[in-house]
Amino acid sequence: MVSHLYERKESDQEFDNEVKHFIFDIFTHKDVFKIDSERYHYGMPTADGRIVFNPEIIKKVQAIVPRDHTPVYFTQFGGNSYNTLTLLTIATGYDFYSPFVEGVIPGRELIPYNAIRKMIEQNCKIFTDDLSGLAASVSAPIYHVVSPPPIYSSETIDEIKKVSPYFANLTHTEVTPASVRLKAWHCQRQVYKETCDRIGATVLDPPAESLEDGRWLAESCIGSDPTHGNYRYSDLVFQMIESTLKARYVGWEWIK
Amino acid sequence: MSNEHRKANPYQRLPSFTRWSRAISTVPFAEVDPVADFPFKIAPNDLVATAGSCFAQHIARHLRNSGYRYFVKEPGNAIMKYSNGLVDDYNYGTFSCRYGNIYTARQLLQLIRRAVGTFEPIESVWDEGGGVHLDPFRPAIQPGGYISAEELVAERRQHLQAVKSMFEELDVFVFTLGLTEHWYCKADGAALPVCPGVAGGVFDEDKYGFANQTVDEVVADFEAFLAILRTLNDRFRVILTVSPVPLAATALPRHVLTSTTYSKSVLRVAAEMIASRHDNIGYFPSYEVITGGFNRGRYFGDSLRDVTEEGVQHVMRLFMKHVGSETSAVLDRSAEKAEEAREAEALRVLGEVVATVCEEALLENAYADGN
Repeated sequence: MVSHLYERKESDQEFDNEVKHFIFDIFTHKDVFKIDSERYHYGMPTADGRIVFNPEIIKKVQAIVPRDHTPVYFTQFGGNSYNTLTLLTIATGYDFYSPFVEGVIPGRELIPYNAIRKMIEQNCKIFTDDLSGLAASVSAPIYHVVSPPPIYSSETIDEIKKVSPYFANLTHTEVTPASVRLKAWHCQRQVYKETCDRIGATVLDPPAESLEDGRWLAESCIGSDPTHGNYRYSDLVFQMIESTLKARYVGWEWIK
Repeated sequence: MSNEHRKANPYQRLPSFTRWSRAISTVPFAEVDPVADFPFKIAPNDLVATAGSCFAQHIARHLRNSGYRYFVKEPGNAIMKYSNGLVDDYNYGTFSCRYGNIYTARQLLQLIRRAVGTFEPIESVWDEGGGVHLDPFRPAIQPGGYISAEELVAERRQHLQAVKSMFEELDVFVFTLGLTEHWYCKADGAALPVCPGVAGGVFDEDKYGFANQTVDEVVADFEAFLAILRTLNDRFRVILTVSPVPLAATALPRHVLTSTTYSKSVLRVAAEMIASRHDNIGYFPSYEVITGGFNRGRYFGDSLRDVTEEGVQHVMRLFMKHVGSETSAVLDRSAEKAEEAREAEALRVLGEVVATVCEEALLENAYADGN
């Protein structure tokens, strides 16, 4: 997402409003990704059991966003975290029925959908807590940008897996079939959707132009790793955000 | 009568466990051992499967944690094992297959008939509304039920296939008889584990009937079960127990204690009759250990229904002593543990990969920018 902004020109979209993106700098705050008790939380539990957004981040936002601008929050908390569970198959091949995608692959172990849902819910709980914390701490509108859908071609993922040093220790695993990955993506999307509905936030689905057959990440949007979109995808997402706000892009800045 | 007037009689030659004064009155409660003789032992490599009522869950838990090869045909996919409590919540491994509690001999017979395809109940799915579908024959098997009738039917097909494989492959089957009272579907006699309306479904007296089995019926159902099991497996042995857990409620218009006494008496007699007919079936007296007056009720919790861990420990201590092989504790589980460790490590690495790749994707140009 951020990489794309470095080369982005001001938009010539015909909107009266202007939008400037302020991006929380996770390089400076890279401990965000330490998923343990010491991690830097976006959302933080309070003594009385509520979740609030980290006040340090809110202060940084207030300090950098000009007072005459209307803030709107766009989040991608958790991103494609379901891939932790479902990108690769570590043991017996499985499948599950889904409310969103029909059919199952014959011969694979059937796991109840509600169990898969619970698993994905647990897996992204810290991120949906981040979202809840944000909603509890700001009065501005919040949009959650859903992660890109899966890549259809398991062969493409397998090729990336073979050459990427990240996957060096996972050579004994197989790429999970595309339909199963798609179901898992839908399941995670639904978990976020329900969180957003509960907290009054809006879900933004991947841009239609980034999809192939309305379901898969289009080839033109596939990057160098199997869990993210590329520059083209980022461009489409920013355009979608700007269209949502009916505003013309005029620049961006880090929130450090 | 003084000793000199006693004549020789059969009781004089019987071992001390036959005498109350020597086997109960003068023995510390924790050392009471009513297992006089058990017909066989479980060998270290025997696959031991379990089924039955609530009390059978305790037996399953202890077997799982002992040196036995506790046979779980539906353990849950590896990815489920790394989400807290998921496997337990969805009843994978509660018993050897995901059948939930099997309270009656009728249910057990029905299960094996369904597994081999000779019976398919007409009652198939309870649609609870709101996208919740329950299996009438295991309504509490998972939280929230199934999302569709299609999912339920497909998962049940997988389950029954696993049940069939379990019966084909097991060496020892531990079954705990729990109840005689049960509800059934009038259309085809299919036995239900709980009354419709309790854990799902809607009670309709035109559709459902109540029955309370007799000794003859329990024995006949179990014999019919054994007959089918023999067609699948020619080496099985069975350990029969009777659940000491009293009825939570009786459907008859009488006191629950009276109904409990009837049920347990029937089951105990039926177990005795079945075990006495077959060399490969042994009755294990866990019922006696828990309910016997010698422990003065201490093996029941405050509700006087739940069996305490102390009571379960007593039962399992005797189980290991009389039924377990001396070498069972040294069963080599290294391959199984290595596989579990490999799966856990793969998931951990995959989690790191996703997080790391994610971080890299977000940071790649931050480096270029000199951040």
